[in-house]
Amino acid sequence: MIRFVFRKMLNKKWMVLSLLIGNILLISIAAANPIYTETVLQRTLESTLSGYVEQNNRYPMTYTVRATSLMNDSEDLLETEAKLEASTKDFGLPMKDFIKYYTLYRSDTETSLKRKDKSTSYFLGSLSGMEDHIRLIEGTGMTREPDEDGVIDVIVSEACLKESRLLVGETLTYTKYELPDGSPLRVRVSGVFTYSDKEDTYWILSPSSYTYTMFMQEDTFAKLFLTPDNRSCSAIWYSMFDYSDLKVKGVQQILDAADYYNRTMRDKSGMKTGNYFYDLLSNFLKTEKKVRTTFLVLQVPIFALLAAFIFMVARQLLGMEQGEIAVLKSRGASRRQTIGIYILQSAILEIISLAAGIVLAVALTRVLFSANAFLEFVRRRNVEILLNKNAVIYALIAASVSALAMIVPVFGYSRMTIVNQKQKKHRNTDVPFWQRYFIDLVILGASVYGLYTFNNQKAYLSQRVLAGESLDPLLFLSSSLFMLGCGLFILRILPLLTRLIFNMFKKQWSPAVYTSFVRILRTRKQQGAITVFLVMTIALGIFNASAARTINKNDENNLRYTIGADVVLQENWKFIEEGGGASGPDGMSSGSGKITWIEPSFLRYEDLEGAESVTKVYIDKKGTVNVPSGKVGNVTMMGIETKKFGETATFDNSLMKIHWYQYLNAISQRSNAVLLSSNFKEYGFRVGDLITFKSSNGASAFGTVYGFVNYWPSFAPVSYEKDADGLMKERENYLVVGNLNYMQASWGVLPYQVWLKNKNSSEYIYKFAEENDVTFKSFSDMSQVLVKRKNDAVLQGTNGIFTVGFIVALVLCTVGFLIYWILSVRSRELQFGIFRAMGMSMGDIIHMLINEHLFISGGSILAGVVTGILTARLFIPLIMIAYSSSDYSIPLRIINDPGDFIRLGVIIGLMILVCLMILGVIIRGMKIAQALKLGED
Amino acid sequence: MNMIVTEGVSRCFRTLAGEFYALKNINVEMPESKLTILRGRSGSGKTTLVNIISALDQPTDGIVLFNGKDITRMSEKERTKIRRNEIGYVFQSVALIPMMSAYENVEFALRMAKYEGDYKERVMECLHLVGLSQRAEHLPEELSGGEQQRIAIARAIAHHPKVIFADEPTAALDTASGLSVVKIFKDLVEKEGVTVIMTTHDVGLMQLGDKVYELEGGELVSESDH
Repeated sequence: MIRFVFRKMLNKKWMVLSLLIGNILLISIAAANPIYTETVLQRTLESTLSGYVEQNNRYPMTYTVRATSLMNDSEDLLETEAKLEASTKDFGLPMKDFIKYYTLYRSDTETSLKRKDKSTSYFLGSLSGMEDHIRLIEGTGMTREPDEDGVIDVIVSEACLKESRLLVGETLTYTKYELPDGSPLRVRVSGVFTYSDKEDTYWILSPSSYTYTMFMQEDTFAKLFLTPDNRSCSAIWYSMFDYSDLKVKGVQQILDAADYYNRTMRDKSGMKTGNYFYDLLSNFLKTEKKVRTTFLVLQVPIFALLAAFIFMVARQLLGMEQGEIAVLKSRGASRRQTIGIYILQSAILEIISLAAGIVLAVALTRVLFSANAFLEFVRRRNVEILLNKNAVIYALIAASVSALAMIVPVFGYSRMTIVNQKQKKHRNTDVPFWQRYFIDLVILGASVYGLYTFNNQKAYLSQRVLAGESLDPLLFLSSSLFMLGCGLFILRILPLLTRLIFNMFKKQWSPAVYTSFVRILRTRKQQGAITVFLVMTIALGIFNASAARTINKNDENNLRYTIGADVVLQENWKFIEEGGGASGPDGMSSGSGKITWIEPSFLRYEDLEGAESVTKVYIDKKGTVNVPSGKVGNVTMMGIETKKFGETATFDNSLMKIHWYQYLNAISQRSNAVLLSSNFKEYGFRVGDLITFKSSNGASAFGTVYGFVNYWPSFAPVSYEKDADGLMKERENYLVVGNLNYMQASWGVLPYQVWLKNKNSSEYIYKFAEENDVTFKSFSDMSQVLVKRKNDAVLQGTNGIFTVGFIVALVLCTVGFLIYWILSVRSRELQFGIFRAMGMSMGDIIHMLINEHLFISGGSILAGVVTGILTARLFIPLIMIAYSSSDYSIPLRIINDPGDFIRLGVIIGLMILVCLMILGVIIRGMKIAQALKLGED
Repeated sequence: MNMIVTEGVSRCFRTLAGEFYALKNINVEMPESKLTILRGRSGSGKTTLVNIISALDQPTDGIVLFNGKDITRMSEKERTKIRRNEIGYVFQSVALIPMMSAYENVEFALRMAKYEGDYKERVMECLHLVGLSQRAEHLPEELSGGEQQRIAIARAIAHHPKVIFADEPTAALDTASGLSVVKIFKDLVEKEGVTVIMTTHDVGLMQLGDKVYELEGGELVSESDH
């Protein structure tokens, strides 16, 4: 039987090959999903943790326990230490570092020197492993044993030395404690230390924060003070877990372990726990859920398409073998044997497809990860591809589904004898079943209902997404259904149009065109599958392209808008506090007295080579505006230099009806002219009104309203905040834009931002900062932010899925198209022979085929394009919700890149050309006499 | 006057087993407005000969004069034109266009030949001639084999061709239907002066021909006039 099956497959090698292509694609896409989902998640996890280190210079996987109660004696402490040291098993991670900080409670000391000291009470402690992480600035280090006089050498931080004005070599005696042998506890300041490396995560608290601690050697400390019944020690343990091998699967375990230790540690009185990772990781788990659903759901249409393809080709193959089945049946083959043949055939196909599919899946994942944006690829450094168990499971599921799609129709056919088959052939001219039962309208109705419902719940949906949940998969289903329904509906209409054209010129048509029309109109059922399929693939391709472009472009536009200019920065300003006379970095003022800010030279920015223009922008987000009913707080006050601001800031004109320069011109006419955000109109403000507004430090100013704006560079009309229930709540923001000169005249010169527009790259600003040793309070470089955004794993995965979906659609389109046409020509060889015999030239026949193409393929392509654009318009706003972030400020715009249409057009054009060429070869090779002979059997 | 004259026509097929001559040095003369029958067993080369003299195939050697013109020297374009305007075909297998009704099939021949007169009148006339004017709106698959063959004949004669070539038109039919088909040919020859050339393996139909050639193994073995 195997030989029979193989022979049968070889006979229909093109169909079998198409089936194989469909199967391999289906399996590889199914298998690729878990592979790249896992890879994306792993990369997200890694970047989450490494991003934390970058931003906070702290080691995120640190679990801290403090024991600061006198209830705990040294034995309790050592017991806890042992427990924590063994916690690696519960956390599932090895320990990178286990830092123990033991100290005696702070106590007064007496110094050997006679002088006025600022402070005389100190902790005496030990920090495990300290010697490897310090650099001695002065003196010598700690010694292991007390010297012959019983004096212990200790070291102190630079801060401690300065604060207490200690001297190296000074000896101090603790008044409260004594050594185990009863002798007084005396220490000698033998050295001053600082960290050996600024970036060293060992220093959870920097050396400068140990202002009152004398450090002694850890073993000596343990020997002398961690003795039974000693209740004068407190401890802090930092368990730093090594997360370099942390896998997504291990995250939950860490959270569980942290929960467990939090509980058990707090059971003991006087123990406090803390960590940096809990929020980080639980947020990651939320993202994980979201990513998993989104990635799976984004692929549903591709799966549907592939399944449809396999089903279609399998049916076609079966249709071709119908006769054979019927003959087998008439010759006494049992139904079971017939079905067996097909089961064997699918098994062979699936085994080949599984092997090839999984290999392709890995390759596909590589492609996915090199997707920079939609249909844009870059070489990326070795991304580790995570082949996992799920990939195999998904592949197996896909294989079984597709095997079913190939086998199920056999049950129908196997029941048929040669007689039924001949009878059935007569019904070939019937309209397709979906037209007869109005299935297109039913599907369309269902999807439009879905669209309507989701549109009504938009606000709620986006809240849920912001709260970390994933988007309803039904939404994606309704978009796919819409595509199908819409495509079918157009196919219902198109023939009417064809008929109209046909009837209008019925008399004028040449015999070739006439025949092609008759064929187009009377063999609709045969064309049904290919037309629906073409519509779906093209619609999906366009939809995917549009969705990807929209997500990317809107994201990018939003970032541009939110940042406001190529580079936005604010220097750390120094200030003078009246009375105290102290100066320091801003934000560190003690709050009393009047502050005078020292403005750093702005000239330095104006002189920058790489900047095309630069301007000062004063922003105060805590301003107040008096309104008739009282006050509006948290108003963003923005002081600008109108001309330079217009030259420097980035703003998309289309956001407002009137060009934004008009607004700048308006307020430049008068020094106290202001622009208000449109929501101020609700308080009855009109153009020409006089308003009172205050800066965050309470100083007021007056302004005349010159206009209202909906959008303004960097201004977010609404923002989202978590409320008490943990739900995201929308908050309206208010804005006042005025002239910087006027604000400075009213309030004095306050720290402002510097906005810059680059000539080319932003490199100059980094050079500037380095050369002048400038530090920034805030700094955003648009180009850097955009690059970072492009590397975002979720966005990348999405782009990858859309890109692969698009490519798959094209491949299927091409294969499906070729199959249909080759089959349709092959099955008509006799007819062509007759036409040729009756005097049709080769050119006429090709003309006939082109006309068929025009109306069958052309119609489907048109339907596909219309459907795709329509689906994109209606559904992308909803799908975008899945990517909502709390900092979305500008309205969504659906992007259709003409380039995608051109690409699609070129590929379809090529496809038709290749197809026509193949057909041409087939037809040219056809000898009339031979073609006619075909009919003789 | 002869409609078809061949001089030394041979047709060689190259096969894996070597060269194979389907026709060897055939010289025939087929008179105008007569029914000529080519008889022979299957494999005798009669279909090959019909294909060659009807401008569907080219001989390896020799010339074919169609109404005095050498069709073996013509371009494919000219031959197509001859096929379209001067020839009507009836094939062994029924070769109607399946998606067109009986009426449309006949009408199609008129379209092909750019017939000058009234389509409807001529189509009905031809259908009447083959006795099937009642079934004009039926699709080929709704007709019996004999009926289909008669529609094919109606189509073949519709545009007033000079010659009708019929390759085994009766092979798939029962004796009665076969006889009625040949009768129609006979009527056409006698009433409309059409030249009909048909092949058959049926000895019983031989005496109906005005001229009969017998082929065997690619060679002409007998020639007789009635």
